[in-house]
Amino acid sequence: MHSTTEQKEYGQRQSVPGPASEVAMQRVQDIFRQKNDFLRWSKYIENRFDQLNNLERGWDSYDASPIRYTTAKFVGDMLEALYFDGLKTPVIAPLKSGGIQLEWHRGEDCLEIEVERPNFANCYICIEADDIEDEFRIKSDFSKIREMLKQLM
Amino acid sequence: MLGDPPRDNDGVVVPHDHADISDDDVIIKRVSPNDIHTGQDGIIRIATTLFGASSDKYSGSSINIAKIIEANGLTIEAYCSQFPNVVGAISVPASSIRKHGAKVGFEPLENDRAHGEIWDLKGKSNIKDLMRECRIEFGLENLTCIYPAKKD
Repeated sequence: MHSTTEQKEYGQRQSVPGPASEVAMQRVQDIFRQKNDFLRWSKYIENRFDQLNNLERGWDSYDASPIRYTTAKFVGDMLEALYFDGLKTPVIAPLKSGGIQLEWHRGEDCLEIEVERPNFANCYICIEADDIEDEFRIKSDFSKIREMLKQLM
Repeated sequence: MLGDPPRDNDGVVVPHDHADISDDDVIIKRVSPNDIHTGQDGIIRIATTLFGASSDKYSGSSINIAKIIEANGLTIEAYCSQFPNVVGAISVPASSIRKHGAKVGFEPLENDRAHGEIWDLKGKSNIKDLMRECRIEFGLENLTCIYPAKKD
């Protein structure tokens, strides 16, 4: 049971906003902003995937394949794993072979992830100022790409 | 004009560097709306997927050979525009493709007699460099550039 003094102090903490409550309010606003950002991000990706799913054979005017469902599903899971606050929406480009490429650009710097099929992706990163240019293959561990994206944002 | 390309037992054209396609010959790549993207930096460019491999037997990348089109009395624009989903075309000399270790071959199709293929164009770095050497043949007015140049 609280003493009268404790109840008074508790009551004062509730009624008089101080720095702590401002910090808490800021945190709540940040969480809502992040959630809204994520929802906007997800909505963009969902719309783009809808567009890609409608591509028919020959969409490139030659003989490009339609996008494979299993690859799209894998890319969706990858994007969810890669997301962090501040990550810009990727360019989502169809591959002629039926895969999907994700791209983030900053001028001549870029990160491109070419997903041919589930668990089979080629990554290319170029950051000229840091003299970084690398091309490597990944399966299902996206941690390296996530770190690179943070570097690029 | 160009000799018959080599084919496998199934009649499919096999990867080859065609002797009748000289280094100076102009190679055309048709561009569709799905090849063009606006990056997070606001630059409207062609994706490197443009020169990506197809899912066909030998994983080639389709192209057109300008001298065949011109020999038939057509302009590049008139020829390319008869295909659906074309918003423009870019071009590059065959030598630029070959110097990246790729082969430039001839694969005439029933509905695309000037059709060819590029094989063995590997690595994003090579593709980006190749795209920087390309020029616009027609269309693509909205592009900021085909692909951003390297800083000197």
